[in-house]
Amino acid sequence: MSEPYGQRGRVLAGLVLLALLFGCLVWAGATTGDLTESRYPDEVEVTPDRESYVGDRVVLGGFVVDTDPVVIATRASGYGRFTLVDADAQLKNDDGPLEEGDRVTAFGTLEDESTLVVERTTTRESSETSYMLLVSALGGLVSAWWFVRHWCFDRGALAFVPRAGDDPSSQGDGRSAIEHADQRGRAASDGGDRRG
Amino acid sequence: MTDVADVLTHVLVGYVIGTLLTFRVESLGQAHVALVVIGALSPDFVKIQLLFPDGFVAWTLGVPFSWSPLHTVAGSVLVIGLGSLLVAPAQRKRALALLAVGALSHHVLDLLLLTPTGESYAVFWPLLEYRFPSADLYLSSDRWPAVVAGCCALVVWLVDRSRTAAPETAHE
Repeated sequence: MSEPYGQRGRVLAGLVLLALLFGCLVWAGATTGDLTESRYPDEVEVTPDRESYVGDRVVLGGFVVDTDPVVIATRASGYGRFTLVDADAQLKNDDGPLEEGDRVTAFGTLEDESTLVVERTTTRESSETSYMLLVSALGGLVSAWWFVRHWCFDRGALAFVPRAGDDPSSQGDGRSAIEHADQRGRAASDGGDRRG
Repeated sequence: MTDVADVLTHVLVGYVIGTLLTFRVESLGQAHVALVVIGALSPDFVKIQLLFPDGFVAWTLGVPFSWSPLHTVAGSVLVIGLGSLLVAPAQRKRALALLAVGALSHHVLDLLLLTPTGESYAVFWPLLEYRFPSADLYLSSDRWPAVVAGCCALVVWLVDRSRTAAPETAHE
C-alpha cells in the first residue's frame, strides 16, 4: 500500500501536527505553566513572600524539623520554617505520626506567616523518588527494546513495518514488508536480465 | 511532574492490554502489542523536561515554554498522530487505534494517583482547565503498582505462551 497522499502529503501532515504541538507547548508556557503540577502557590513562591499569601491555599514541601507541634523547613539549610496544624491527622499515605527528617508535602490555608492549617499531608522517602526515576528509565528502555525487536525501518517506504512473523495479518508467507520489497526488487532485476 | 506514575507500571499495563487484545483480535501480533506499549509510554515523553527544563528551552528559544501539554489528552492526540505517520500506510489506522488505547490507559492510571492537593492534573487542557479529584489510590513513588502490573504481565505472558504452544503441539 502506497502513501495515500504521497510522501509530500505525509510530510505536510507531520509539519502541521508538529506546529500544533509546538503551539500548545508555547501556549501553556505563556498561560498556565506546568499542567501536571498543582495550581496552588508552593514553597518556592511562598517562603520569601509569606505575607502576600496569608489566607490563601498553598502547597508547602519540606522536611520535618520538629514534631510537637509539627514544624517543617522548606529549605535544605533548615530555614523557611512553618508550623503545620493537624499535619498528622490529615496524613493520607501513612499511619503516622510524622518523625523528624520525614519529607512532607502539606496542602492547606496559610493562617499567618508561619502557620499552615493542613487539609492534606503526604510523605515520601527520598529513596522512593530515586526508585521512581530508576524504574522509569527501565520502563523507557524496555519499550524501546520491545519496539526495535518487533519493528524495522523500511528504507523503500521510509516507514516502520512489522518484522517477519510479528504481524499475523501478513503471515500468508511469514515475511516482512521489507522482504516483500526485496523480492519485488529481485524479480524486477531478474526480468530485466532475462529481457536483456 | 512528580504526580505521574512510574513509566515501568505504564509499560507493563500497556503490555497486558496489548496482549489481551491479541487474544481477542487474531490479526494482531507482537508488533501491535509494541504499539500499545509505546502508546502507554507516550504521555511520559513529558519527562524530557528532566533533561531540558522548561526554563532552559524558553531561554534558548526566546518564547514562553512548557513541556506539560505532552501529558494531556490533546498532547497525546498530536503525538499519536505524529507516531502513526512513522509507520507504513497499511498499518497506520491500526497504529493510531493501538497507540490511543495505550495513551488512554496511561491517563486513567495517572488519574488514580494520590496528590498533595486532592486534585489531579489538567488532563483536558486546553479544552478545559478542570482537574478531576484525585482517586488517592497510590503515590507516584509507590512500589506496589509496578509489582501488581508485573504479576498481571507475567500471567498474561504465560497464557500467551500456552496459546502459541498449543497449536504447535497439535500440529506435531
